[in-house]
Amino acid sequence: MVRLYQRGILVILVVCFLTLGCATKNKNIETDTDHQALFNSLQGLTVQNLQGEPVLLDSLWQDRKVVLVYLRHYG
Amino acid sequence: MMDIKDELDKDNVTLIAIGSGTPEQAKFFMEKYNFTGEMYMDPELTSYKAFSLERGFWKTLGPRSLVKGMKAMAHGFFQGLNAGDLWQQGGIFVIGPGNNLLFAYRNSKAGFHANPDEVIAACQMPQDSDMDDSEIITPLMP
Repeated sequence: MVRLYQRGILVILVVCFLTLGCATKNKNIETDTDHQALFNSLQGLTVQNLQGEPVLLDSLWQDRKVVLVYLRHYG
Repeated sequence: MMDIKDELDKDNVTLIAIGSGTPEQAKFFMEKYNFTGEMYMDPELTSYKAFSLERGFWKTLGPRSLVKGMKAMAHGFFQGLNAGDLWQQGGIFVIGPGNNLLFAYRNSKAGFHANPDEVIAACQMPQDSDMDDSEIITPLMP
């Protein structure tokens, strides 16, 4: 009975591990639809420049190619 | 980041950083790391969320992140006082001109970063809005 219980726990853990692993990888599978949704969600969003003035985020790359780095922290 | 700045300049690509702190903290960062790109702030983390960037306690202080942090310290990189949201992770994207996403990397945990060579490769991709989707570089998280 105890062995059966242990096996059950093991199966649940394996299923959870596989599910989480797949979910993590799937986050990086980006499709054209994902991109559309991303850019739609960015519409109207603003960031601040160094003077504290709002700047439309998607205006930063409309007429140029940019490397956009999101920092974890300053310093 | 600044290691690839010269290459980006050669390719006529603009380096932009967005952080979650204050303008003063951003200016301090720019001076400390000699950052010469454009700098913006998003203290509300709205665009971080829109880009689906990771956030969480274990993303910053998980065992793998701590090991990476110790390795960085061994190489002389010491993290100063935190400036911004402590639990928020970063990412790097190559975009444009227009709404063309050429490269996307979301840091899974603190200490994990995009491969600079892949970023440069994305920057050197032709500026063709009709580009095949298969050409989009989307590296997997480590």
